[in-house]
Amino acid sequence: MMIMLNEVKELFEKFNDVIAHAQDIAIFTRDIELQKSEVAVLRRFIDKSEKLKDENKDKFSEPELNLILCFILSADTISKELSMIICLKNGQMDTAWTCLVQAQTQIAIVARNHPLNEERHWNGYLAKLDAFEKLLFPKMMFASTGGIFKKTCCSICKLEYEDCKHLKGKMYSGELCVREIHDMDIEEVSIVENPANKLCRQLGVPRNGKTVDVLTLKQNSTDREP
Amino acid sequence: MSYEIENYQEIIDLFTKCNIDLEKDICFIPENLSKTPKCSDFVYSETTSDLRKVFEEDSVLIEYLTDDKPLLRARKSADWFGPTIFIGFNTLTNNPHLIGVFQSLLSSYLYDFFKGISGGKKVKFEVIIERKKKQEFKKVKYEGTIDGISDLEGLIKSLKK
Repeated sequence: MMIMLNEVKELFEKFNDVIAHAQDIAIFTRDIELQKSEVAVLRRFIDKSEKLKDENKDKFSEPELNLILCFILSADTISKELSMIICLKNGQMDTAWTCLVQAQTQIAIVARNHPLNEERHWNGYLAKLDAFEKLLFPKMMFASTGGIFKKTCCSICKLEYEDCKHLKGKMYSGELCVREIHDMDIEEVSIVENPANKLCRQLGVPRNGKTVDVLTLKQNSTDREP
Repeated sequence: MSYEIENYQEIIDLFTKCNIDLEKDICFIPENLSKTPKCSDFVYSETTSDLRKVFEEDSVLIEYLTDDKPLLRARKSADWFGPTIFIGFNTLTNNPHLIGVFQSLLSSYLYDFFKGISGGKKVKFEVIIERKKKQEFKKVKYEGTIDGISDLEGLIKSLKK
């Protein structure tokens, strides 16, 4: 069991309330204005959590700081889910896809790092996002790049990634470790069905002698990425 | 999921060409060992970095084949492309428990790695076993899910002479 300071406990309770409410709004049939308001509510929660985390780096324990980062990412995941729904309603299919992929990426980070390790919670939500992908979007192909790292750095300690003890994808005192690629020789680009990054995707598809948008089958994309 | 086992005697010549001593207990083998004799050109899977750190946390030290700065190949695929690991005769005979530790750490790392990811979770890696000191080598290729890794320890120990 994790011991928490009162401020973290209170944030945890607030998180549960905010997420429960947001999940009730993140249903396609809900009114779009309610959904936009909910995105703003989540943004305020995220800002408040980031401020609490940043102001207490010396006071809170590493698991507490990581837990707060999990709250932030989880709240942002629901925000992305809401944004996806809003975009779908507005015909902004490219941005809808981006929001979905960002939600999937973030919740995977939370699943790997949550100090309370409650896998049963993530599995249901992951399945939901997976269902969105399969039911709302067409099958696509993706680009997967391969290359040789020449220089990479750890985002936590700024040392050469090879030389430090941090693992990418793991949280350390409320910060996510990323392997920053500073120099790389690209060797190849493959077209794959199952990439690491679903944002590198097929944009067009041939249809009646023309290239059309893979999502809408219209000749021009109806939205621009934010 | 599948394990493929093949003879791998050519490693003796490859080590000789690169002027590398065959006295290795356990180490990572570069992907291009057969393609270049120049140690400074050796390329390893970038997953080697994290595996090395994970093993080191548990006091299992697995180094690169040479002291040269390793070049690391990244593949932006959802599949996990692991490194090639060399398990020397000394390890097989004097420290066989290390194989169980290795399997356990690898499984645990991969379980964590694929948390939160839906869809196929394919894993590929290779293990080279020195069956008879400086004389006989086998290469074990694995391609499959994380579950199949549970057979690895038994398989490696069965190859021991």
